[in-house]
Amino acid sequence: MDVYRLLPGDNCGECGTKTCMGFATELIERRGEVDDCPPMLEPEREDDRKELVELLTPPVRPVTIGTGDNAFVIGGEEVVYRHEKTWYNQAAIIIDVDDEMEGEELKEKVNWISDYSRIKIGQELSFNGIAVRAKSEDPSKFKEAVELVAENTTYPLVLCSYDSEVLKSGLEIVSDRNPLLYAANMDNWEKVADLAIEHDCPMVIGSTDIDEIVEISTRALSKGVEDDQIVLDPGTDPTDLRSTTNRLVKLRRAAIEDEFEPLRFPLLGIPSTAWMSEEDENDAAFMEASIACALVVNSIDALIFHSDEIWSLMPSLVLRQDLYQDPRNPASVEPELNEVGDPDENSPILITANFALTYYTVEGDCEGIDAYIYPVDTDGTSVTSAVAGDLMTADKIVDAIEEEKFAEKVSHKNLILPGKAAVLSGQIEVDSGWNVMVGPEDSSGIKDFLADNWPPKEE
Amino acid sequence: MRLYNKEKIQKVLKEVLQSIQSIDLEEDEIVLEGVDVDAGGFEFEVSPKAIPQSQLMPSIAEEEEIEIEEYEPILREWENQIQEIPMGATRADGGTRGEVVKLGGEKCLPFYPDCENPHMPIVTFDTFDSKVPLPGVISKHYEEVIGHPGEWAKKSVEEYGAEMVTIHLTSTDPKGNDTPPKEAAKSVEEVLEAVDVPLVIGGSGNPDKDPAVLEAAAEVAEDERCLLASATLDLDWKRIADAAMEYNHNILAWTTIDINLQKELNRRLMNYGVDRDRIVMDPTTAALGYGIEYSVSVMQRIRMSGLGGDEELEFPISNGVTNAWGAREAWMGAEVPKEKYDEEWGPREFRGPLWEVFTGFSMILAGSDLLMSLHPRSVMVLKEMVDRLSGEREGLSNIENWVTAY
Repeated sequence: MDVYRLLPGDNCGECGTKTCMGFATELIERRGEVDDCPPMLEPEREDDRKELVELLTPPVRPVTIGTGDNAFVIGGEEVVYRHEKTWYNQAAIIIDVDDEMEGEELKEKVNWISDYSRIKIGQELSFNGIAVRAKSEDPSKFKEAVELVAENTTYPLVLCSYDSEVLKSGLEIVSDRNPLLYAANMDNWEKVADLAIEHDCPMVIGSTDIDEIVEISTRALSKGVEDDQIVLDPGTDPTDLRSTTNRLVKLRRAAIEDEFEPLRFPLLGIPSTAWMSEEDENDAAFMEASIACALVVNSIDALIFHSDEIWSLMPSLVLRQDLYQDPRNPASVEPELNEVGDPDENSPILITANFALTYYTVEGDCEGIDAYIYPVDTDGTSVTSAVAGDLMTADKIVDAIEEEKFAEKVSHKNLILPGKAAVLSGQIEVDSGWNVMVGPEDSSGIKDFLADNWPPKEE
Repeated sequence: MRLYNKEKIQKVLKEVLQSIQSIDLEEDEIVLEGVDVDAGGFEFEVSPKAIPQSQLMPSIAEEEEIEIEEYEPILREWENQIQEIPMGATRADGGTRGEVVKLGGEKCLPFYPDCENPHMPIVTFDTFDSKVPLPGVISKHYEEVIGHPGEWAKKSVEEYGAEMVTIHLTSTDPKGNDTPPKEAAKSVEEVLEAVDVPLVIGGSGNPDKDPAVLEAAAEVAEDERCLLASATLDLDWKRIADAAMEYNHNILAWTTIDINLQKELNRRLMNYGVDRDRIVMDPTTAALGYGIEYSVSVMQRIRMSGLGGDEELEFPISNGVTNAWGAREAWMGAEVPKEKYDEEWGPREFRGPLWEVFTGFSMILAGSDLLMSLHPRSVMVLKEMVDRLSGEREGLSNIENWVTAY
């Protein structure tokens, strides 16, 4: 209602929604932005517009890092626990490099970070940014490294040094790329804040002392740093995870439950610190990953890693994908006859469940072959659960043969059922007259199964 | 004369001053009338300086010192405490276990600043009474003990420091060996003799046969206070409840990622007469990448309901972390001879255990009290992480140096 009150109220429809009330709902559900409404941009509505924007700003202020297609937003969260609504902006996964790495080595790591991509449940898993650490503490050396990194990636960058002269030398190369400056502390905050203001880029405030964070952020805001340009690093201690996670909980509550202005910012965690406490590389990568796990479950907004081993990074990519699924919409796909590759009337029809994860796993396993896949409407549950819970039944499959007109798509009468749904095969054959072939238990075996069994032998 | 709390007077004064901000302060004295400070006619002398300048004269405020607001972090107190469950019985209680392991007792969310955890989460090692299909990276650690549950349990305790052991009587599966319950129970005796840690006893998961298997196992383990796994809604849970009460054991109440089903099963057990200190819940563990978000959220909701006073949900939680090995990212590569998975996902010697660590550690952070786990490296890392969360460990003094340290 507060939102609606501030809108023009003439139902002009220019925003694409018929009524202002409808647009208000879109705004509250975060499906639209205030600027989608052209009348709100008129000068005489400036005050209302400002009030509306502030009203719609989530308790944790969103911060944008980088520019262009790879820019990402962190923060913007409204709830501490995902089940209370949903978490919105995935925790950013950033990997560090340093300015003492050899040119080729640096280039190779930067390219690997930027190129990594994997599709899971129909979504792309990739990293978000690169942190350049000024290990040398030498401005000219840092500048050189930043230059090399910037030439080899369009990913957003984090410039890491407590020396404002070093940060400045990095900014000479990438000030137009909206990098994140790391980090302001009690000693240097004024100079870092000056850089953030001058170059209009976000900055990190780092301290394990919440009082210090409050003091620096209050002063930085008063000095003129924008309230959507601050990120907080409350310290990731690899051996004392208790205080580490407790600080996260306190800060998240401060932002969301208290809406305490000096702390309404996204939180940065640095599992990379595990490399300070472990000697062995594999141990360090294991610890780094496990620390990241604790931070992601406790709703961190961004993470900096050191490892470049995919086995240690993939679990974090997957965990954040999982936890940022919207719990209000169970991940499922439409129950319809889908095509993979270029199927014709001789291609097999594979049956599976409409749980998104199941469906996309099967689809991925069919890469390179031509087939139809029919995901039965199992209320978004997996084959195993659906068979056990009577959500995947012979009746549903028999009905689908009719409704989805399987007979018009193919010239044969064969269905391939998941191995875990074998129990349904008899009834399907009796009720539909189609022949049922029981496929593999795990869809990774589909290609081998088809190689041995398709086309089916004439009886 | 009655003394007045200085802070209280300051607080009242502050409120009063805030309420008179709009008054033009030309006087140097204000008489406060009708202000209830319980002091019968207070008279304050107020200098205009006592009111923040910024609220009176914005032009001067810019030159003033910035006010830093103090922040007092929220600490939450819950109404209820999670039920404490003793696992195992020592000689004093009629059993033969070396120590009793306690689960539960939490007064707030796991490892939150609001309270201390009375007990750290415990890992129980899985063992099996027969050959089961295990990924190669796991079975290679247990090759010589597979098929010998006593030896397996011993190895888990002596080599890997297991605080509890689970014996899964998988050989009883009618679709497999179909071992009779009484014969299968011998494996339980074997494990009880081999180690003195508390046990979890599992069936094969066959709903028709498990009650008989668990009855027989409960009988041979009388008074050892084992955890019988599991009572579910789709089998004759009353027989398992009877066995637990008759032979002095605990019950694992297992449901499928659904808070209402969990309440339903717990309620039935309680109404049937099962003591509150015998119930542990298993709301099902979905693996990382395969629905873990459902498990995390259901567990957090269950724990919050329990702490908030829902007596049907105030029990400790157990998680079958071994489920992580069902994820293809964990196992693929060995059984399916495709090197490409090692190339794409990294060596399975690492990715498998780490997948189990992520699944287990997420459960710990969502409220788990007991983890059923399998790979020695996963268990080692999980125990190390729990230790780092305990609050007992000293931190590094120089974490800010990460920028230049390595």
